[in-house]
Amino acid sequence: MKHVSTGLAALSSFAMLALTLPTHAQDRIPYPVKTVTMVMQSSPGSGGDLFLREVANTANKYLDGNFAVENVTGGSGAKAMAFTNKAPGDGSVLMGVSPTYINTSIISKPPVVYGDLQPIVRLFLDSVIVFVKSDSRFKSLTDVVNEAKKSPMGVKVAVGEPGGLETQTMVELQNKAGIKLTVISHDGGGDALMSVLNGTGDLGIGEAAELKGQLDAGAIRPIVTYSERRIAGFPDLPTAREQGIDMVVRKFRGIIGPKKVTPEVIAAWEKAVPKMLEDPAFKAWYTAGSLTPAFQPHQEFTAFINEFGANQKAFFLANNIIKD
Amino acid sequence: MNELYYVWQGMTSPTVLMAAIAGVLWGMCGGALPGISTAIAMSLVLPFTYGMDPSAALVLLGAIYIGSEYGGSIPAILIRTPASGSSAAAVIDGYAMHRQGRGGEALGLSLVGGTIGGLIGLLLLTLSAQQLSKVALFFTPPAYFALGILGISVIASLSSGQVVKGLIAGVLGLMLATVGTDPVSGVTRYTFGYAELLGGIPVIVVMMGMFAISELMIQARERDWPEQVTERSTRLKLPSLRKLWQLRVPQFIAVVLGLIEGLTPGGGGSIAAFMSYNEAKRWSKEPEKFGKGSEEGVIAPETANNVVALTALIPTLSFGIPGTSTAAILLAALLIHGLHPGPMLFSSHPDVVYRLFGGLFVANIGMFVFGLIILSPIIWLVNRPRAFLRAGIFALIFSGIYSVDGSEFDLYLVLAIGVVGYLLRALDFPFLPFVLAVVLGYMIEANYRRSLLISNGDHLVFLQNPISACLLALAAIFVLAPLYRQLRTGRRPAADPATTPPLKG
Repeated sequence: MKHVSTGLAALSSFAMLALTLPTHAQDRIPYPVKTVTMVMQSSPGSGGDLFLREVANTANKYLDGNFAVENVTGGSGAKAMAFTNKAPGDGSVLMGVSPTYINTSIISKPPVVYGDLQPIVRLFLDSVIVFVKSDSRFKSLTDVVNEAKKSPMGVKVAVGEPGGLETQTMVELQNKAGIKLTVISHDGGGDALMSVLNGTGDLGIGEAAELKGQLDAGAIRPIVTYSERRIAGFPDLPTAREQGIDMVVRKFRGIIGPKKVTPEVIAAWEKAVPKMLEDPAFKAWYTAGSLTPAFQPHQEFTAFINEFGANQKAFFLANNIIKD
Repeated sequence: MNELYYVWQGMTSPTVLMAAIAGVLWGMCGGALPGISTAIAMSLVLPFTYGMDPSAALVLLGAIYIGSEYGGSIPAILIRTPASGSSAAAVIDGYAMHRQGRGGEALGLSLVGGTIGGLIGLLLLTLSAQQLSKVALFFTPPAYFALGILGISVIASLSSGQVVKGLIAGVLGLMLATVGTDPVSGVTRYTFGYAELLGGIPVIVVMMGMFAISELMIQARERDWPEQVTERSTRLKLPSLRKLWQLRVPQFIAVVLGLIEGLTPGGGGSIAAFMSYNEAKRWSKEPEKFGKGSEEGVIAPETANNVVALTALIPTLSFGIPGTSTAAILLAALLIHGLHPGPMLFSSHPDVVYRLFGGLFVANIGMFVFGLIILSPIIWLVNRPRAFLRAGIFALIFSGIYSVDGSEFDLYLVLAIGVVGYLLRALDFPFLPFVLAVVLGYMIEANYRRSLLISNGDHLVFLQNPISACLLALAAIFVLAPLYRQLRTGRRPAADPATTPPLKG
């Protein structure tokens, strides 16, 4: 096995070398460390993973460091949070996040929670779309609400991981519309999509980027988006507000670090993100995925996270999802 | 006809060829090192694929996948250390063969079985990906539940003669599978405040603890054991065509189960490997040989996991829903290159898809050739004195487990499971039911609860769904038939040593 390990070591040092070759090192924003691990709590190929890989890719152009994604999955983000918390504050370990890490902190009460980590910057707001199979009887959110009023628990909704933002969105819809739905959680967005395709779930909920293949093929049809206003790429898709349900879901995507992350790291990211958002390739990518650029620097993002966390907690308490 | 042209291009274009060869070699090395799972081997290379031609990038990743499915069997057979969940089933009979001085034969069976499985999987993928993808749609939660029950029903036959002990081991395994986050409500269970347990106990940790650590502990208490094996040095021996024909039944079972597992998301290599091992035993003319160095017990799981490696691409490409975690990385690579998987992929980018298939064909052949070349030096290594080897294996297990999640906690976990494995073996419990229950537990539980949600608590849902009704009926027959036979003949079979490896060499 020694030969193999030597070969491995040689290969990985080659890998490091190839990654460290700077393209335009002189133009890049200085960054305190050379190698940066970007931690993702979900598996490769998921919406969050794709987001972070693209961010790391673009960061390599604008920041003077080598950014690579590592998937630390398990416990809906709890493992990734614990991993990030142990890292030094030199910017060598950062984590890509969505609301899941806040929900997990509140519902599962892991040893390391969102308050133990430091928000750095927010980049996007993601679309939250409700979709049905293309031959479904439901044409709009109103149809769903009417049907659910007629037969409580009769409409089945397929959502991703338990306790996620999608589940919460459906609980909120039930409260706002005074209806009862059957919410079935899956192991991820992909499984939930499959569930709608094979008729187990009447409707599903996910992000535009994840759903693109099936939307293009006409296998599924979007019926509502929970965004502030209509989203790029879906000009004809009405929002929930337009359909009489006053609900907006803010699925943010941002970057956080360990509590003691240095001001230098924060400043580098604050400077880089506005430039990254203007990068043509990055722009083409996020537009195609219906992500809304929503940059927030450290201070604002921290305030946003604190408020978001407090709201989530209040929501879970009010709905008996948690006890204290 | 254009499709065939693209397949040919994939087989002959120099960049794609290079990618296929490099991928297989790297995959075999990565697969052979415990802890460098297929997923890790692929993600290490993923950054390099950004700038590559999409076909070559996908072939590179696909070839790693193929190579590592085979590479994982090498340490499984030679040192009882499964490098990944999907190679764990090969440990049982492969290692038994190795102890009888037939390690070379086991490696040959595994290599040929893997190549055949890979080629059949590729054929199914190339010819019928679009049609077969519809099969995945039939698998609803009740069907998944029933599939899991069918798999677990084998506990009865795995523990013939000591059914009570087998059931106890099975229940222990199911209990272990409930650790972590509840699949429906998201509440944590049995985590005792450890964040590391929130994601449940990783299957690979269970496998390494059960098979490898417990084996090291058993070897450590016997001083004279090592010399017995080093005297008989291992040489690679390929099976003859006649032998392969004799083994056609387990191979056929493996292809069918590999296809089903590949098509249905959430299945994956380890479930396919264990289920084909079980079914091969169930349909075998010589089930008593299983666990004692049965050739059928090696070729079945080894063929199945290579079939899965290819057929898992069917839902990945046609739905964008990966059947295994490794297929998920391939999905990421597709998306990085701006290709959206889905029913449209075959019509919008036939060039990329069919070149990928061509490249994977080359990768499969490459796996066979490189398998022949690298096995000799590896076998030489394994024939070194046991004392050095044991220390090396221990280091390998630890570094491997640590590299999975970078978690120190997992090291304690693997030791603890090793102790459980040692106790089970020392107390003469069959431990296969335990492993099987861990592998299938989550699938059974999550889908049982989802099914009941769909039916508002009505258990009839399992009988109303035709697939689940058939699978459950099959499971019932398999459990009841031997009991009925026993009652009629009034004979109690002796304890089956296949499932309780003797403590002494």
